[in-house]
Amino acid sequence: MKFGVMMFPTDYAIDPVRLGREVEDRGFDSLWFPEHTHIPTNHTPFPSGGDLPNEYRHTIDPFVAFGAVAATTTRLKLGTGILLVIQRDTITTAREVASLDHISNGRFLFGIGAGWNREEMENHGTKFSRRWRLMREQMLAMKELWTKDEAEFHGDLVNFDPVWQWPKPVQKPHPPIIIGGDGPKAKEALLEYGDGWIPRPQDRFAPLSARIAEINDLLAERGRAPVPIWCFGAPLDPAQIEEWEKAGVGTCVFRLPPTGPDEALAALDQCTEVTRRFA
Amino acid sequence: MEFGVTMFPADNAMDVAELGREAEARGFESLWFPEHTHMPTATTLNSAGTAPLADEYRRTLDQFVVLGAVAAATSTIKLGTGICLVIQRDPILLAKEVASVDYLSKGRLLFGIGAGWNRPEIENHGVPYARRFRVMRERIKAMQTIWTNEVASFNGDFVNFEAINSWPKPVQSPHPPIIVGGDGPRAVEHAVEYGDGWIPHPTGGGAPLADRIAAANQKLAEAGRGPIPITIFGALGEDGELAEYERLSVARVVFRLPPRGRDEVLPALDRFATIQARSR
Repeated sequence: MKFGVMMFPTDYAIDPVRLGREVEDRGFDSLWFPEHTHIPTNHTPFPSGGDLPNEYRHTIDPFVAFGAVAATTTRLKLGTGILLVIQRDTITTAREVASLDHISNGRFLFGIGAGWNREEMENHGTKFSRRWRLMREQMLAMKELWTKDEAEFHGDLVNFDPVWQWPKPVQKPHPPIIIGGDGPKAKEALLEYGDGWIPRPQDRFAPLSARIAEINDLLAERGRAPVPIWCFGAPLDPAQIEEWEKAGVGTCVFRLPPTGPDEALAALDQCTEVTRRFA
Repeated sequence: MEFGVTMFPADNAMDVAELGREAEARGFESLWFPEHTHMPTATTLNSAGTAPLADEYRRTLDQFVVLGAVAAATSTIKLGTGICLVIQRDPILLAKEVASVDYLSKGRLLFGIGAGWNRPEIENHGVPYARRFRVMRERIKAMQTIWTNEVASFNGDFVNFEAINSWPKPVQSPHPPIIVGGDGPRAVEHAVEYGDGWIPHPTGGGAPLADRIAAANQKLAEAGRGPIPITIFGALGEDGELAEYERLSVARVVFRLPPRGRDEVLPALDRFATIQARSR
């Protein structure tokens, strides 16, 4: 079992550079930052229920934060968990991903998702009902940009004539595209162009083990091997982590509170203690 | 007069974090990075149409990934976008990226902007070339609204949003200086309207620099504003040239470093550091 850590990088939490060093020093495999570009005061109800936590309004841009972490770590993998691709320009996002992979010498993990906040994505010109179609075309276009000296793409929603764009990613053919979500469209995306999966840990749809087994069957039908699986919100209970491991989770990602260094590092130490049992 | 340096952050050039540390160690006031998000293969000539497009235009790392890395690697040198193609970026996202760099660098960002010159590049981001200055103005005003309000709304011809929250706010108050690049009548108009600084071309622009600065100062006065700081890119560092910039009250000159490996960049940096020392 590998272990990672996720935190909302905010303007009131531990500095991302300090966090990156502390996480790397403790032997974790990966650090994950989520994103929201902004939050409209009138927003879609929070899918997890209750009030939207304040950190959603305060996130530092993940590419800026990871640029800083990449420059100050050497081994730690850096993952977006997840990036709202559909709120971003395709050509610029391809360049940001390749630049981060270049600066980090091949340490980027490209977690993506289609989002849930209708009002937020509409402020970026994206229709809620089209978000999965748009993300699909964006990702297929990015693959062209990452792998061809002269790339072009002609879709319904993304369209450009031949262009040059370097750097190409260090990882070949490109950083793993890791799909977040459990709905039918997320599964379709994973089967078509995903290199990894972030399912929800909760058994709201079906037990995690059953969902992973189903995905592996669907991948096999397409002649594909099982893909690596990251699961967020890892429990501190080793017995539960062992269950995740049996279900097929490859990396447990702990959530840290977006708080000042004392509290965040105390929480990190608790997570580190758990990982030692699996060393 | 302050001295800065700029380099295209190409993937085959010196590492940007190391460049940041080396520039800071030599006492330069600022380090600037240009941007092009990509190059259409239709673009084969430079902006003036006088020479083949240099390879670094196709190879620039993303400006905000680079600025994040350099912010973490340095502690005092100012970090500039020289320039940022605002019309190729979403204003809500760009406001967040600018504020994020200003936050992580503890208030060291200089926000150089421009409306661009490369029609097919601009249009691949969905903005018609003819509208680029109008779009740039609205996006800047929208970003100013986001940076300075807890709840921000904007209703324009091209940018529209209602009541949004976005933190971090920039460390610099009210926001990082907006430094407008360009010599065309519209670029000057924008610098006069909302610029906290101006980047005229040292030799182009259709008139001697002294005349262009005098004309801009005249327009600023008509708008009820005093002169704004002037930054010159591409100074060569010759004695007479720098004395002329001093005479024209230029606030900052920026030397161009070749987008090459450290073996070529560091000697150039040393040469400019010597010129800087001689001018003090």
